[in-house]
Amino acid sequence: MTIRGINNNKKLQKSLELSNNNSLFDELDQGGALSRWAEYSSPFRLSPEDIKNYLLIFNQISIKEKVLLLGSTPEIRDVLFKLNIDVVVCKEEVKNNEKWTKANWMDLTGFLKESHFDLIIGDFVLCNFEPNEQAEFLKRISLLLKETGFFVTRVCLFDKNIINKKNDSQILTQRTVEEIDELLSKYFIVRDLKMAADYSDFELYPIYILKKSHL
Amino acid sequence: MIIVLIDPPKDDDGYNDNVFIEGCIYPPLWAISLANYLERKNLKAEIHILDGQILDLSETISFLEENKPDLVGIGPMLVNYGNALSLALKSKMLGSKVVMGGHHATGLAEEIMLNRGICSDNYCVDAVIQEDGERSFYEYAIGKPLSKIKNLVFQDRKDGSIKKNIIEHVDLNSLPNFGREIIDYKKYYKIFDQKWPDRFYKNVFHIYSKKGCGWRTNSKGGCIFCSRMYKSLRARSPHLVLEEIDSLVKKFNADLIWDISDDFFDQKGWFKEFHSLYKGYSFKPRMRVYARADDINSENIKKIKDLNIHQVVLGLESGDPKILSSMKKGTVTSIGFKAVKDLKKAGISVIGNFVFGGPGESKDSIDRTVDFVYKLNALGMNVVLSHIFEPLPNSLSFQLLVKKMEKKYKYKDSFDRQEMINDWVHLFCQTSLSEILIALKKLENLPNHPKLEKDFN
Repeated sequence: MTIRGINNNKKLQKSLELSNNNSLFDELDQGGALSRWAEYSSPFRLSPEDIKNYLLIFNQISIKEKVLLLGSTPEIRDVLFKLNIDVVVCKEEVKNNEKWTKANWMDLTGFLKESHFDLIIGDFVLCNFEPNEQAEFLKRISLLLKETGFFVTRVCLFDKNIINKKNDSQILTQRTVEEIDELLSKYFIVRDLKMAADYSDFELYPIYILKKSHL
Repeated sequence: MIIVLIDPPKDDDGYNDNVFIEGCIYPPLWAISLANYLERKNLKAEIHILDGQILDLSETISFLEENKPDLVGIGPMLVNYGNALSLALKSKMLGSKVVMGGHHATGLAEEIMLNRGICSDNYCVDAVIQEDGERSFYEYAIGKPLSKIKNLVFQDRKDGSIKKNIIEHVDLNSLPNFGREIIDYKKYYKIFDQKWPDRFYKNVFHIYSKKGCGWRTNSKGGCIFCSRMYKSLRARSPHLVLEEIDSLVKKFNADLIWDISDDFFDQKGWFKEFHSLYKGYSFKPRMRVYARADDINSENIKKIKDLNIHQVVLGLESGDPKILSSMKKGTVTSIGFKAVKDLKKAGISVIGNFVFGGPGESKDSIDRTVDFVYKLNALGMNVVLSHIFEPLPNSLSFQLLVKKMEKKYKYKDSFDRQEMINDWVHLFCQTSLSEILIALKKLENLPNHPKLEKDFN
């Protein structure tokens, strides 16, 4: 396969790991998110336990020859790098000269092969979509997976005991745990989930290990 | 004649979370018992035991190819049934006769023959033995007519009908004692040492003192999740069990004896005799046993100490009275609480077993169970084994599932375990699968939950 991603770009990897002054890093950091990354706290940024969980999950998934990463979460890329996993990284705002794939996640099926990937990863990706788009997004992810493929994603659950959904338009994209189950079960079987415990309300941010459903 | 007895490796669905949660690895007792029985009957056969915990699927297949056995016995479970079928098919291609047995095969005997019997499109199983297998397997090996072999289920090659012979138990005390020489224990010791280097015990041996469960017998069905094949309770003589322990200590330096019977304290007379005879033996290996919480009283605790039982595994299951009732557990939370408190006070380690997803499980009942576990954890119950409810074949819960989803489950012998769990939760719980999984993960972070390696000491 053509590898477009972190393992083909050691320079980028190094820059993200070690330095904020690298020109490539600056180029990537047009929105400023990367340079402020250290300021973010969990759950927005992966906690050490989240990272350990991702590491454990990737180790437990037996076949990961064809891997697709949605977005560019640095910690996940580090984990994939350490595990020597080749990966296609998809992110809309990143320039093409890094051999990454620029794409709108809703259009992935337009140019990536269907039934191609063993593993697709996306941290907090579902909440980037409007509620009425989420099922369609999951369907497309499912189409990209092989019959034996897995989708690993951390989700942001909506706690109806704490927040009044009607009064906060910003959390419209979040789902209650029951809604998430219903949504995911359209295209996936929940194989397992893992949670970090090193930040508050951690149970609202589980990582789902989803197996493609054959239904 | 070459006979191979196989405990298949777990099916690989691409996500390998096969952890040895109970902290041990041991060879299949059923296969050891069968091998000893065949040997005592002087069957002229070369017998091999292939354990899926030691050999993977390809290694097992290679062994079959090299040895081309005449007869293959397979003990499948839900988690390895896919591999069991692959091995059965391979064996048939090599010209072997294939017989299945054990809990899973007993519960699905007719379905297995219907789908895998001689008249089926996927023929790979010649017969299933229900419940006790020793005598039936021997009689099958020597070529006794199928219709004369008790406990046997097979498909009539003429009309495809399924024939079920009557089930008759063997006298457990007439079975030969478990000679373990057939097993290369060094392989097990090695894996044990690699996985749990911190344990002070190294040579763990499993035994069974009883077959069946008193609660299941007396309550006409027992716990809704129980998939044990025996409907009645039988015990081996305490003398025989003690002789076996004596032999394991002397021959193999066993330093932990783990009785895998459902309830060590079932049958008061048996326990009293065991306790009384024990004094005559010089060995003192530690023991681990299973118990019901309502068996734990001051008299039994004293005997537990006398017997050097260092750890009791309690099936507490839930902290919600309604769920305990819906699971037909026959006990209440206060009894579980008292049992843990009293055992801990006596310095005995407790492993608590919990299951989430019983009929009617809700967010509230889950929360109650989590709270209950935290309270017990504060008492010192620092090892918690929590599971998601699985409607295993041969259980009452499986019957309920089949009734609700006949098209999907009736007459089938092979299932997707994850789908079964999903269907169960969807149909019988008032909560979501995620809610249950989140609760399970919460219990991994108990305040008094040190590393399992240390706990199991």
